[in-house]
Amino acid sequence: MKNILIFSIVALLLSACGGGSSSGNSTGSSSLSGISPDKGDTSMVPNQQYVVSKGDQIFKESDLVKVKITHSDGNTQSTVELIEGSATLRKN
Amino acid sequence: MMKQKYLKLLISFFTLSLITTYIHAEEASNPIKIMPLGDSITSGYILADLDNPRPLSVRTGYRNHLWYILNNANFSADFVGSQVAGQEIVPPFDPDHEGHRGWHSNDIAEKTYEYMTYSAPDIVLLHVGTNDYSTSVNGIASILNQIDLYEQASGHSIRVLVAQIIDNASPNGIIRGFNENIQSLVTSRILDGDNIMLVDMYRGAGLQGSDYTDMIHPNDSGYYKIASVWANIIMTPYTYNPELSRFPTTIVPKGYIQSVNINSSGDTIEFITSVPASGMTF
Repeated sequence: MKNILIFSIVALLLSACGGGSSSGNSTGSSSLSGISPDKGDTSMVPNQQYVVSKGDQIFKESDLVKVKITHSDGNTQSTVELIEGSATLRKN
Repeated sequence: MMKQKYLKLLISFFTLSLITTYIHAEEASNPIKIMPLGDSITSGYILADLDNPRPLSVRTGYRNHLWYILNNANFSADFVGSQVAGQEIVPPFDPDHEGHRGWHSNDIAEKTYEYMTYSAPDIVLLHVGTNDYSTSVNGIASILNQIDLYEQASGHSIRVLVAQIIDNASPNGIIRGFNENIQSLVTSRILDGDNIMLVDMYRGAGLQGSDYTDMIHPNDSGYYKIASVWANIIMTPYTYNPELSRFPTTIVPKGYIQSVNINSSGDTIEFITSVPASGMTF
């Protein structure tokens, strides 16, 4: 009986800890891309060029996302421009 | 000390002059073999030739203007092909070509291997599809396949400039659709490593209604505009770089890529792609 009581209290405490509000994650990225926001994330602005290097990532923030990528031979960096939709750029 | 510096400068200048002379001499002795390949817009036939045919010797299409532009820039070219037209035009130009009036892209595809074997061009200027009256680009794909087969058999590499063809004098929806499909076709083949380039003659040449002699064929001012687009690409020093063609598919699967453009010099690639659900990593 004592064990059951302890188990119930622990279970109650654990469930209370996990029920926080999601208001801190307003980008909507987790619903589309399944990623958690990161300090290095940049919400991409349409028609603005971003320099990216190996390991950098782009995640969708809307259903349809189009980007224009320019890359020169022998260059370790490329440029990315958001054409349509919304997206997040995560620097490596 | 100063004397030594001047001597070094003099030697550098002399060496540079020798190299430059050598490069020009090489270019002159090995002209670039260019094949204008297409239909009446390449051969120079116009609808008025139906009732009052002009002799072949005065038909030029864009070819004479292209020759003049290249020649004025001291670019050494040799136009090649099994056909001859325009040899009486003044100033004279190289009248060899592979333009066949009224031919569909499939007609040209059937003969492409033969043409490549006959002329072994370095560059092919492909402007074809006006007579197809269809948005299908299967004929263009067949032409490119035949060129690939010739390259494999001969070991001779050919750079193909594939034109999104000029519109009719009045905008034609079929040609617009055809050109959209050419873009998809060229995109797909570049990603597979084909040494081809999309040339936007549709918008890039900037033809207006006043640049046409009939509903289909340009007049001299229209042909000059077409020649200028070809010339700008031909005269830009170019290096084929298969690594660059493969770059987009190292980031995103081929099916997501909508258009690919490699610049005239072959050192920069620009592509438009949709982003997969899983995102993309550089």
